[in-house]
Amino acid sequence: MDMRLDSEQQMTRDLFAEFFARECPSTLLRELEAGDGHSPEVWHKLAALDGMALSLPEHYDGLAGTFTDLALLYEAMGQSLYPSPHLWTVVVAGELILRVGSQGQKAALLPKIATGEMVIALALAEKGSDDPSAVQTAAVPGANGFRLSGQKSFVEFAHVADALLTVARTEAGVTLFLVPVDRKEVALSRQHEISGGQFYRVDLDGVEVPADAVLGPPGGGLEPLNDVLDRARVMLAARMLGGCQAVFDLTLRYAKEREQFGQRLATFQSIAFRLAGMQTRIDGAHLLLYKTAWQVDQGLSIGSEAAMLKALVGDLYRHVTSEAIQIHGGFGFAEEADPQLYYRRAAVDAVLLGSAMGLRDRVADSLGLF
Amino acid sequence: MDFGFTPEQDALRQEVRSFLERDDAQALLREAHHRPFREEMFSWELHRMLADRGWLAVHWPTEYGGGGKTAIEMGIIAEETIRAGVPHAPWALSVNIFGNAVLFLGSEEQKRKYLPRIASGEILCNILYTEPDAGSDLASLRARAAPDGDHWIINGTKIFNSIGHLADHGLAVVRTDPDAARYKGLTLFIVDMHAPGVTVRPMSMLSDEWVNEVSLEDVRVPGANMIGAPGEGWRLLNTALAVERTGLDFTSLTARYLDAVIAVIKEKQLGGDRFVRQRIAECYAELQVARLLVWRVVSNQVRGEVNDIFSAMSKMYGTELAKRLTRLGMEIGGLEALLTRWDRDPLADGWLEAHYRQAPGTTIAAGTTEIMLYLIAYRGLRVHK
Repeated sequence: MDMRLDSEQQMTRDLFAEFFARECPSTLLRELEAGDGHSPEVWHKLAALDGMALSLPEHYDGLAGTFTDLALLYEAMGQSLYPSPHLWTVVVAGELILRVGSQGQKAALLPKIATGEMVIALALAEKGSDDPSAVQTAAVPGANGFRLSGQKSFVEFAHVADALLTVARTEAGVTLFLVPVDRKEVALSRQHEISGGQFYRVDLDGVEVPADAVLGPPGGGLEPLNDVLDRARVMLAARMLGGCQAVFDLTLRYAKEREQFGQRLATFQSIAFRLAGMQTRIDGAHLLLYKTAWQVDQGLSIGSEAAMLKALVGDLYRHVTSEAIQIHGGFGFAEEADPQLYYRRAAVDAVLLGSAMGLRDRVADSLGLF
Repeated sequence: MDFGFTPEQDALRQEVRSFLERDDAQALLREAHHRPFREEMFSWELHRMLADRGWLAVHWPTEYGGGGKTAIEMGIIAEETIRAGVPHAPWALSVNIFGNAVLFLGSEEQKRKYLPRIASGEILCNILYTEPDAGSDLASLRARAAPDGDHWIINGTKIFNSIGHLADHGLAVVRTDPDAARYKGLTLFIVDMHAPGVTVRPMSMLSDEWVNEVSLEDVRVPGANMIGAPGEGWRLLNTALAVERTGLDFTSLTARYLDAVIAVIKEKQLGGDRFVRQRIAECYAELQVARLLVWRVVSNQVRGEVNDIFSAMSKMYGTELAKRLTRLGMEIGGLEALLTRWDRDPLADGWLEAHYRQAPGTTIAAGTTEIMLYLIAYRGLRVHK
């Protein structure tokens, strides 16, 4: 037993942390929020650093890195709040293509994902639900394949995606499709949400796709999707924890500098103890993240543990960002200061792919509570 | 990174579990639990059964009666025994607190004298630190020792002492230089609990484990019983505390609390209740975190790394969770959970009630939550720098 990152893992972490600190300062975040939310420049630089190839197999131009390496990349993204379609393109679509895609799909798509050439967004949620088994979007037999109709929401980075990984229902059951975005039957409208991010409502109005747009067996989408979404939940937890530690660090720095009543804030016991309590919870959550990632790398099942991890970290992120603002005082509440950026992103990440309430029900089930 | 136990360690855990599930072990545990109110619950018989298996001090070198294994194996045994309800204070104090202090800080002669007899279950040992006016602020302690030829004469009063009524020896911290600044002039001695002048009086507490007031009146202690040198007490004590404070015992107790609450939920068929499900799932996740914080400390120790910040985090996190869990247990158990095991018809053998009385002590004993937060804030985060 050894819970420390080994030297290679530390190098991976530092490499990405330095990359995002350099390439994605908060000035860029503000520009992106005012613009279209995507920086092709940083995206391609990340690809050049093997950020997309990291977790893919060597056969498809990947680096065959570990799941833990991927988590370290996500921590670094979270520290700098780097906004990108990486999660949907690489962790979700890439992994699904790898698992259930045809040889043709793998050969055509994975190398493009590895180089950052291809962007895929996940069209899963409908109205307020992102439960894959509840999707209503219908796929009916069409001229040479299927015709999809329905309304998706919270499709992140749909505006820069080449294709939408669309979860729809056929006669056989829940089925995965790769739907091109540049069709007139695919209409995007931006959703204005709390983080100023790039989420879209997508109206599918009878869009025709060929039979080879189906990913995996018709009706067999649920199981691989749920499995891959659990992996994505671990990455969301990593991203959130990166954010937790970053916003904590800037709060600690501020509290050590700021003086009131002739005393530095951090030395008031009310502040010092809150900081100590937060760092303890962040440390503990880190261990849970690394243990979960380690289990994946060992080929062990993670069952409800991804849900458990994501619920715990989601709550923690909202708590830490809220405390960060409180300790910063009025400045923390100001738009020009950074804590509010983390506070708003925490709200989003904590509910993406399941809020704590729903995830905890899975944990309760696993404990035999019925 | 490696979060796993070795196959041998997994097998050891299974072996301990199987032993504790045996009818004779279960009968001893039940018997101890149902002794009359305020009666000592320690079972010498069970203690020696554990000793016979080589489990009491599995992590000590074989030359001192240990099993030659590591703190990981010790942790596995402690986790399983505490979770099964073995009263753990006599064992933990003798082996992990008194014993480890002697092992790490004592002379060769001291090690040979005490350790094998602790490991074999022959004797029990305890500590004499806290005083009426020196709790968290231990450095303000007043008990003193004055030289008398090749002996020292100790006078003072120690309180909140566990198992003094069972123990044969105690590790005392006393002042040997009354003129030195408060952190200086402290010295550690091993005191024979049966020596003339040692009086142990029980102090009834909220929990079922009572503690003692130990008065030391002109107690003569041989110079050979000193650990380290005069004036080294504070440094040595903190070294010992850092090794002792893994949080493992407390967090194993927390695991036991969760088991008890889940058993009641199943008994009362409340598993479908959303409030119950949410709260339990939350506590379960936090227990996994608590265990990781514990095992980070233990696995680091095995490599010779002692980090008192990680220890403080572990101790605080597990015990704060313990208290919340027992409150939740009382909420879920309702009226029936109020009944003690001395009532005719208690819920779950009165465990929820007993745990609810035990838990508040966990965030006080072995360093309060506030001291842990202080350590994390000042030594870890260096808030003053």
